[in-house]
Amino acid sequence: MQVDKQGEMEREPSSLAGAGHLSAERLAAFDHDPLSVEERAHVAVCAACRAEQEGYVALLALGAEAGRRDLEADAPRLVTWDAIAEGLRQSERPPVPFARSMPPARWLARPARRRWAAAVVLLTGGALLGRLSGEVTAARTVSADVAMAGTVAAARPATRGDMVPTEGYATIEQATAVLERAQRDYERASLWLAANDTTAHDSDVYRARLAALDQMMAASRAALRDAPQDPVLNHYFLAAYTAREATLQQLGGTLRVDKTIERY
Amino acid sequence: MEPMETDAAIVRRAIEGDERAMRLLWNQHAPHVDAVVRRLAGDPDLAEDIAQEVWIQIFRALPSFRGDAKFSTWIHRVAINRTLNALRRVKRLAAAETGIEEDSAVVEQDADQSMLAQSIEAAARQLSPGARTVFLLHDVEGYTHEEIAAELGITPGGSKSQLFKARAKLRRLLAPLVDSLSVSSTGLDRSYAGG
Repeated sequence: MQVDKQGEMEREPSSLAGAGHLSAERLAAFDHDPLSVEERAHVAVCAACRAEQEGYVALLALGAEAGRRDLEADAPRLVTWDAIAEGLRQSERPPVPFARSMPPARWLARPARRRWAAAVVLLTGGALLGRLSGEVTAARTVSADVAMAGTVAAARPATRGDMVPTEGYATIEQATAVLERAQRDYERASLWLAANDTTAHDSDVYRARLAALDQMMAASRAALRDAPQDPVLNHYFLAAYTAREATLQQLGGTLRVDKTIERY
Repeated sequence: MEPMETDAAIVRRAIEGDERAMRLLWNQHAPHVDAVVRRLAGDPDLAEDIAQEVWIQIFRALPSFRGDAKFSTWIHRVAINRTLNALRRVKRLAAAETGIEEDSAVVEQDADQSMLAQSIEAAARQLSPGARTVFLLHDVEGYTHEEIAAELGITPGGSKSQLFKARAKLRRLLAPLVDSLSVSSTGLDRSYAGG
């Protein structure tokens, strides 16, 4: 038993000296090293040591409570977001430099930016492809507008209520949101057309479409080598593949029954 | 209405460089991270000095978040680690860690040892930096002695020794508060596990 026979107990030494009390550090270790039978027997009959032990229990409860609460939750933040953002920009190896702080020449150097650029190229290519079929449907007009306007912002259907500035964007987030929405619109329209457009075309239209689709697949496949897990590029590749299959079926339908397509 | 974005989704966007996502993470977790920094730093001015560095380090570490734990747990651990690193850098811990194994004088000799503290944070500030860190990591942040040893470069035994001395000192500094709690503590959970 680790008892303080010399009266070395730190707390209230005068009242406990020479009484065979447990030392302060022994009591402080109560949750690590359980008291022996002898020590427990002493605590059971010694009010001072029992009070000390209860004090340590209360101390641990205080510590645990301090860990659960966030100190001064209403206290002002230690650092502002602006200071953190500035620190990230100025740090030697920023993990993710913000686009707005990057000079234009470096913009395309980032893989993520390259993927976005590839997506825009694919989008524009897809819009041109949409024009090839020459049919005026509402969905196709959306795609055609993309090519004519030369901006992804115009890819949004005119029926949408939320207005988008035509001469520029206020923030990167706004432009990105428009771009993403345009991509989704284009994909949906392309897939719908491929599956539902029953307008009679001559086979040249389908052949031209197939050629364009193959170019799109090749472009997206090449981009996927750099970014194999990029969801946008994967989406484009699969959309082009699906449209190609549908076009092949439609092309088969325009051929005379005694003809099958082997190459184009 | 769009469903609320999960932490994992926000983290993914932050890793990709979305400043809005990074700011969102800061907004959500700043109270907790600030509390950790304040506790470990002990000194308000020092806490302010290192907070920016801690946050930058947290954002740099984001790609290491694998999603197999709650993000709040992950950021808590990273905040502690980066705060300790920052404190080391400003050499506030260096002296304490140098002699922490054989440090028998837990309490700073120039501190007013008779002064009673009104809160556990105030009392902890009267401990030596090394003992205070061990106490905060174990009894407040819930670290094991093995984790503390790895974090501070000491042995688990040294960590335990420092903890018991720190508790003894805090018990004395907080006597009125602790005694009042233990008197009315019939509801206190006393089933603490060793650690």
